[in-house]
Amino acid sequence: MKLLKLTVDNFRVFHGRHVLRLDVTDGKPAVLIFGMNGAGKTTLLNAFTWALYGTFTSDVEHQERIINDRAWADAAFGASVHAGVKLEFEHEGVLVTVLREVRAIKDSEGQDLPRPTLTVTETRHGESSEVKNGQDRIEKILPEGLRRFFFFNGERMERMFTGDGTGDVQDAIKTLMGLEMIERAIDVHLPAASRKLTAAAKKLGGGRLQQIADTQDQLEQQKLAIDRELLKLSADVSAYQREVEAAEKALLENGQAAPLQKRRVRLAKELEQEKNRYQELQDKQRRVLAERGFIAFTAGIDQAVIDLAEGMRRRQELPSGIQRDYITGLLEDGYCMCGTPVPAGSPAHTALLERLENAGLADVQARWMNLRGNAARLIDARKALLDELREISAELQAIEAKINDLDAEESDIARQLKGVDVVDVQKLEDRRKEFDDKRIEALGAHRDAKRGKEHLDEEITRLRRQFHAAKVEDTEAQNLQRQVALVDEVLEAFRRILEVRTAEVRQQLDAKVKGVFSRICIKPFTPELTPNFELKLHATTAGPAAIRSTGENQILGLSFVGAVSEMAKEIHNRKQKTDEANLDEGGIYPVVMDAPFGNLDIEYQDQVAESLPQLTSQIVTLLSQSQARGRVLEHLQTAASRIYVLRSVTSKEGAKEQNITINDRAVPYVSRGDFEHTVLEEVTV
Amino acid sequence: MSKEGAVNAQETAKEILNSLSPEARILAKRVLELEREFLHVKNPTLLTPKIIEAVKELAK
Repeated sequence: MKLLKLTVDNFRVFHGRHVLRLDVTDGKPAVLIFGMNGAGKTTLLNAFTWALYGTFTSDVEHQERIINDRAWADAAFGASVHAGVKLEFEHEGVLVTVLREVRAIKDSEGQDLPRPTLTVTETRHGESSEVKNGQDRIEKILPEGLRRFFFFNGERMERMFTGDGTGDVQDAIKTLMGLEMIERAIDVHLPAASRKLTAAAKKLGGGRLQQIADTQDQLEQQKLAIDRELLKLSADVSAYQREVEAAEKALLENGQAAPLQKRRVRLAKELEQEKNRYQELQDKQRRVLAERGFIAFTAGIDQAVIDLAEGMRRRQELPSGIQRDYITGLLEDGYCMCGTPVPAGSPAHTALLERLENAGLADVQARWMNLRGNAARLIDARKALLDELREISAELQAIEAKINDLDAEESDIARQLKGVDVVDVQKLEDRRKEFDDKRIEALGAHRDAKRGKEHLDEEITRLRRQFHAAKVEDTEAQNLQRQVALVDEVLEAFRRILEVRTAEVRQQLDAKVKGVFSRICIKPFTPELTPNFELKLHATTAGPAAIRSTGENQILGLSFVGAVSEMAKEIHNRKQKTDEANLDEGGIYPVVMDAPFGNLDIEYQDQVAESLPQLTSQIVTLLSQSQARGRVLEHLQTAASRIYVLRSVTSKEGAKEQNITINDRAVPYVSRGDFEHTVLEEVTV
Repeated sequence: MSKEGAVNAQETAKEILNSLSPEARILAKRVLELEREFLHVKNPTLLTPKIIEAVKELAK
């Protein structure tokens, strides 16, 4: 999707028609639009999403007033008034024009508008045609679930990863990465097909099939109930977590509670570190025991082997090279060492020959030597193992003691907070504890329910196998049985594919987020995309969660958007190269962002300004003069193919006219006029 | 899944598809086509019947 042109016509603050050309050249992906507060930056951002989806972001006030106020006021009663937004873009070689407009006959002062209409036109090879179900077409090009990644307000970006937005983000990633369609097949459509075929088979197949299918039905019902419970518990955990965080924040903001709460935050971080270290040591202990634990049980055996070998050597029962030479000499001389003749064929000669044969077994000799050596090493290994286990155990004990101390200190802080003679603090503390307890309880219940579901899944899989293998007489039932088996085969394969694809997407996205984030953030924080596709920020690698500021949340959001754009593009390119059963979705998408710097400090603004053009192949940025000065403006201008100014026209008496400096030229930013409106003007780059 | 495992996930996904019976491979491809076609619709009425239709064609 490559944006070409946006035309707004009597839309909100825009009086009359204004055209924003959006085509960019290679290496200069940015379109910059400057405007002061209230000039219409957010309106322009919303013009894109209104044209595409017919909706505004929640921060837009008086959403019913789509038609420009002046145009509405100027219209006579009974006259037709109209507002519209036309977005032209190119998608996979097709020119798409999306026109959403609203027309009304003015019959009151307030706007009571009919439902806006949508017209989508596609032009291929110079021939245009109207798309019948335009909204469907738009959904296929850029699903509404993804708009948060590509049309957003930098100041509100942190909301993407907090509260109720998290689930939507997860769904959007899945859509973008092609996982949603596999998930839908697994969760809805293949089981539905399997159920229908099973129901038909059980009717024809008789008792056994019927019995298996009925049992399965019961288990599926139980599974559904668990699914509902899991959903509720997840929502509960998130809600409790939010309450705990809100109470903690309020405690931090309370003058009397703040020092104690700060100490508690520090303690929590320390506790998290100690818990991680404890976990690591326990893992190490398990690993050591699994790999080398057996050595501990060899005490005595090794010494016995050494003693045995040594005794045999002393008694000359142990074959050796010297012994062989010696016996050969005796046989050649024909006399034993005691002087007794040993002629060939005599029993003594035969005995010496046997002795020679044994003494000649080099591998026996080598093995004995090895065995003795290994037995000696075994003693050293056992000692090393026991030393290591003792060391781990001592460390574990030390950490346990530390954790107990931290718990005690935390408990003391909780008591002190309860004792603060301020009702609000006591209430907050009670509230924090109440919801933390609830959160822990809900987490436990969630784990139990998940285990229960796993058990049911195993049981259902076993029943499915029985269903496939059950003997039935009816030919039609046999066919249905085969069809059920076929659906189940695909279902099982999709489950495995979803697992590996999810892991792959998460891993790649995680690496990309880390890369973009480290380029921008000056702190040694490390972002992590968890297996549940939640975005977290750690103070250090694998360390405790960082307490992130609004600004850091914004950087995290930007990094994420950049990573998603980049991956979507890569997946799209991969899709073009294969004609196999394709699991990829992806695409090339522009980014349109209002207030990209949000609440960022100047250092971060500079970093972000430098990184923005690298995020994607087309980026439309709406910003105010105060958000772009000095090096920030230089970075942005270097990457810009087009620059626009939203000139605010004001009728206010005594209002000062203002200019904005772009490319060392003064461009009108605020000017005087008959009524309040905004004019969109292109500045020569 | 281990990180090492995930590195080859794409290949593994292909391997999983390749390990299917010929009929199941065709059905998998068809199901993905249908899911993609109806992805923008919340509850597509015709999707499950179309899957069943494909199954019946493949396992007569």
